[in-house]
Amino acid sequence: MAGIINALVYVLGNLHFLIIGVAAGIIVGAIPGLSGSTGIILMLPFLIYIDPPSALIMMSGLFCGSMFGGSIASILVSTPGTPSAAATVLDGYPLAKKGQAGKAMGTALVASTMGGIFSTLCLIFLAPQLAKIALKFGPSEYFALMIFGLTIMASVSSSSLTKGLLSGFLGLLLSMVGLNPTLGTERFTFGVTRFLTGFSMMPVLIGLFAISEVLTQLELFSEGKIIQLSKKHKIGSIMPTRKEMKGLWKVILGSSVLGTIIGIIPATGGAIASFMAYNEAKRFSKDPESFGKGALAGVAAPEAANNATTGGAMIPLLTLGIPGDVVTSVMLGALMIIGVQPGPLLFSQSPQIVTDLFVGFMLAQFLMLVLGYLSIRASNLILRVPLGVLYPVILCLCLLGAYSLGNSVYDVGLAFVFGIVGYFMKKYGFSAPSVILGLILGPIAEQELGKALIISHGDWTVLVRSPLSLMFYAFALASLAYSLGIFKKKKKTA
Amino acid sequence: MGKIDIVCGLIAGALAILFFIGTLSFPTSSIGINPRVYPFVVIFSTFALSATLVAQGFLKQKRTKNPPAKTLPRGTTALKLIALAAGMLIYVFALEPLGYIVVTPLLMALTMLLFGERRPLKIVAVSALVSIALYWVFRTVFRVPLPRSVIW
Repeated sequence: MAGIINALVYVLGNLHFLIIGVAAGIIVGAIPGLSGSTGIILMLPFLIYIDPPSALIMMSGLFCGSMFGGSIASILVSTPGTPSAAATVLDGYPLAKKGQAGKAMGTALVASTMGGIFSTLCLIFLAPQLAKIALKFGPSEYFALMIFGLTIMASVSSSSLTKGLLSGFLGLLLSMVGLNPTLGTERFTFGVTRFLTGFSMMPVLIGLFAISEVLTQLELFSEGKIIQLSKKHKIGSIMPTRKEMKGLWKVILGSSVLGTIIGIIPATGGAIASFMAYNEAKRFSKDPESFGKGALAGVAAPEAANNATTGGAMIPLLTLGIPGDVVTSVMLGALMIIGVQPGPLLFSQSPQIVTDLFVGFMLAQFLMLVLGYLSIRASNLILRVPLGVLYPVILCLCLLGAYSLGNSVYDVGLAFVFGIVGYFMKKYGFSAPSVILGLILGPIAEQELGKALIISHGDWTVLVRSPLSLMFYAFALASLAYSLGIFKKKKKTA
Repeated sequence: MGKIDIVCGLIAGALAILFFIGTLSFPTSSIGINPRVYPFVVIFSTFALSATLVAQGFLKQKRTKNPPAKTLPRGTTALKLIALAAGMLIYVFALEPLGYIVVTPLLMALTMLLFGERRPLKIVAVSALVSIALYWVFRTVFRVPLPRSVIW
């Protein structure tokens, strides 16, 4: 109890960080082309200069805010601000066309908040239990867990299984540059002294995600595929009435449960959760014909579900150090930069940080309600942000961010190189999040493998002796099979 | 897309070979794991995936009778992308000798131009103000020693 009070005092004392996080999340989520992951990267140059717990709650606020923010562009201009808001277009845009854009966004806001609260409660109750179990893991179980984590790289790719896996293995190759984690001997430096320390996470993240995005947006802008929005949309009344809420609460609750469960499962994410929740809401609706024509339930279901994935996705991230989707992959990299190592030890060694995060995560949901309301009122302004100013500012922030961590021009150059690589990767269907996963999880997997073999005096059977290890290998196979199934289905429908 | 897959597969394969050559100079160890084992697994998997991608590329080329003509950006788009990439590259090399406050507004102005901004006053004002504001925040608040030159 004392921990919770301390956390509450801490979070309230640093509320400005949470407010900035949630507000920034809503804005980046609302702007098509930007997403939660880009938002976290743009915030990194600032995050490294504040307390790790404050940085953590700021990032969590951004994560939650971006999920709701995505719905604004989905509803007003039929362009999802984030992939998770794609299902919201189906009923949100028809509502906007009927002149009920405000009502649609208000419903999305209430559903997002409720989904977020539900998943935060699950995070608070489930994460410590899972961390307790994870504390019993030895090196061989950890190695198996990392193998499972690495299979996620196949599913975060959007175009092909081969490209997703190859991207991840390129990340693993890059992660080997520098020093051998067990022996401390130099490897793969190719005579370049700079390579001795390996590739720093900050410039790689900035390059692969943010600089590449600026280049992609420039290409789209030049080809006329994105245009400067100038039209003002009618917002109208915002909050759903009590009568409307009465008809929505079951949908919101069901979607929140579904979203949280999907969020916990690695390799899924908000986009899958929102479409599944939409389909379920339609299936159980008394009036399924109204879906697609502007049903409030068609907005509430995906929005409750995608916000519910936030708390769910934080469970494996915090307790096992395994990210669930693209945003949490970036968050994992960001956490390491700010000096927080996710995993069961975080719960036993820094319990106050975890409690601060829980309290911050919960407060973020309520803040989202207030800031979300204001952002709906200002939605016309957010969507009409001039591209000619937005992307140049992002680019300068990226280059400055790359410099600021090590005060090194070399890092700026590295960010530039990875920016170019990231642009081509995106263009040709490769996956930048997979590279990050390989870069983060590879060294841990190698280290745990080394430890397991030292303990067992070189006996490789140690890797398959424990039932927990076998369970993780089974999960890894299932994850790969699932990804293969998804890609086969995509190929068939293409 | 088939041709692109072949090229990408070949690049990744070449990278795997380069890393394989890098393992040849590894020392041997009797503690725990041989230092070559883990890199070998990663390198051979990368090579196998590259080969698969090349094979998939050839199959795609065989199946598609009329491959899409456009694979790389062309015309104005290509010029704009090259201009931005060149601008960033010059920024990297000019940052230390010329200083942050000189090169950042220039890069920002170039990016604004490329994103269609044509009002000179707005370009000058925004690029200068944003650069100075960021300079102030990082130099005075976060105490990041941003590069300064004789000019500034």
